[in-house]
Amino acid sequence: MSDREGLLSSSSLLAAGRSALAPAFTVEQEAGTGEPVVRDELGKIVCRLSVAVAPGAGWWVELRPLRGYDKECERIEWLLLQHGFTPAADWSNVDVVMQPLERSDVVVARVLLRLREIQDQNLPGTLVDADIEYLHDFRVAIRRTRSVLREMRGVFAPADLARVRASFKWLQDQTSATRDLDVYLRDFGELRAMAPAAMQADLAPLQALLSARHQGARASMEEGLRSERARTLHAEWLEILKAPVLEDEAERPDAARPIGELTAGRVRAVHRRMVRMGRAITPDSPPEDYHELRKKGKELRYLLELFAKPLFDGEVVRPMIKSLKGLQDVLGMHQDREVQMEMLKEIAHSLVAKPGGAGALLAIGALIERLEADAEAARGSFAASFAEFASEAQCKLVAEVFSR
Amino acid sequence: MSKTKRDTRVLATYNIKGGVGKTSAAVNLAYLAAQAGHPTLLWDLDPQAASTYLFRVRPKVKGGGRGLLKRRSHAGDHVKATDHEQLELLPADFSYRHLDLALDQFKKPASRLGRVLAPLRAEYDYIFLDCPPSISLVSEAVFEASDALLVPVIPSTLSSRAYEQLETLASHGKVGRKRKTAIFAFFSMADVTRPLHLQVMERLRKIEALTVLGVAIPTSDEVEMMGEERNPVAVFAPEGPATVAYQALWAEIETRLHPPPE
Repeated sequence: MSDREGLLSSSSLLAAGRSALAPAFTVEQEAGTGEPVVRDELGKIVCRLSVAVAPGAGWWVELRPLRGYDKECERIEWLLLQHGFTPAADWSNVDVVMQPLERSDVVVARVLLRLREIQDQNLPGTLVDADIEYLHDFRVAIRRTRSVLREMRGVFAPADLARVRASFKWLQDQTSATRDLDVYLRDFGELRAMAPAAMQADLAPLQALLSARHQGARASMEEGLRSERARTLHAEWLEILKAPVLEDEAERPDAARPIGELTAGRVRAVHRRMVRMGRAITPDSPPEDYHELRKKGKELRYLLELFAKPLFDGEVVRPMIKSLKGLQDVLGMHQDREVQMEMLKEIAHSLVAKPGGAGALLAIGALIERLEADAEAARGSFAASFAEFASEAQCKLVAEVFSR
Repeated sequence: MSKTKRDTRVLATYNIKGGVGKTSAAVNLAYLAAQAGHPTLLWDLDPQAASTYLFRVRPKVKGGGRGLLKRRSHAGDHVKATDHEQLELLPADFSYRHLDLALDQFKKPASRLGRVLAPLRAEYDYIFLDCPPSISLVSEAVFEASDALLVPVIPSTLSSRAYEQLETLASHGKVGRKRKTAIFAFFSMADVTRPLHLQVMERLRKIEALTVLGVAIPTSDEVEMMGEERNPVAVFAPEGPATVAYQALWAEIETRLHPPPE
């Protein structure tokens, strides 16, 4: 298969756009810039089109409305959607329809196929670095995939499962450094503002170093995402998901169980486990304990969002997700600060020898103090959020709703 | 950029008479200002909507002129980007033909346009007002809001009489009552092969009270073709005599607005 298959040159984009938007709008290349533009019936440019092509991953279009022409652009977007273009809003929504009595392997495959689609839709934007949200959505889809593989492991053949799980872990690892640095750089202003005012300017070498690392991380991520291994996983994964029912059920104990029953069991188990883990946490617990609880929390959240929401009473599931989110926010704040401190401590070594390094080190010292205080505050508010999440009423509710 | 205060200059192309090249001047000069990297707005105050037409924009402002004056919405909400970098347009609307009546309802009608423009100053280096040909409350408000009036004058007797009327008006203190509004006249549609034109140009340049800019815009096919091309002359005839003349005129206006420090 050629790498170029599935790519559209900009002339075919113009043709596709032209037929989608006629007769109200015309699409053409602007004289001078050569940029594709959309004109209204007065011949006025109402929006410019950015076309990005990612080798091996297709192409996509971004509409850039001219000031005063938002309404026209909404119409253009709508027309394009009618003609096979994909809406950006769907790039992270899973929303798979299911019935409680359906076979679990079939439903799980349906959810995973949708997650695979979401990965596909976000890959071009990830590769071209149009917006950091593409990578974020791409990673969330992989994390959800891995979570489903773990929680619903009984529907897969063990041999497939082990191989695919390892591959998805590898895929996720390719993207982690870039995502971390995306966020550091995006929020650098906030981080800098946490240092004492007189020291903020001294952090410039830190920002420069982060930018340099970011470039390196992106380059190796792109290489990984375009690699043979990524391509093989992508193809093989589809094969597995297409025909779960045909495989031997002897090694797949949960394959034919009703999805409602399987989901209920998993929600109860993960919830119970979280309650147990959380109760063991004290203000003196090491950061890893908080982190482990947070990871479990994500697992529960994905179970609730992907399966419980379409299968069970929304009136019960929605508030559950909300109270879980409250707890996760506290844990997330704690984890972010811990990771930022780790990053700063590690990067300090590389900064020493750089020009302005000494000033930067002092500023980093002040920053770490401030981050430590934040982490401390998060640990302080953990008890209250956890108490709400693990209250007797909540536990009773979970037991009732997700009973066998 | 939005937080630093801009030194915005408001320039109005004005003449009591119609058909003297006001719109051509407004469109071409605004285009050149924008090309030089200055965020520029052109407000087409003329209900005939000639400059709006030249930028292919619909001559429609929701709520009409009255809505703008009453500041029911931010004037910026009605701004349209033109097809040219840095150049935006506040379109004309048919209701502008009653702008006089609308202005008359306010206590201080003459300062009203300035108040409508105030929030836009943060966005633009230059704001051009393309005014309808008349002498009315609207023109008074335009004078009040402007840093400089750009007055195209056809070197023929009738039109220069109109300019003398404006001069009289200025000396009676009705122009730029509160602020110092500069008045820059320049020759438009000048034909140096016609003795009458040369004669009038010479006579007007001798009137000391008038600032007559050195550059004259020649009568040319390109300016007439703007209606067909629906673009500033510099876009479709970048090396034509009209383009060269507008460039020289703009350079002179800019120097007069921002004189180099001594």
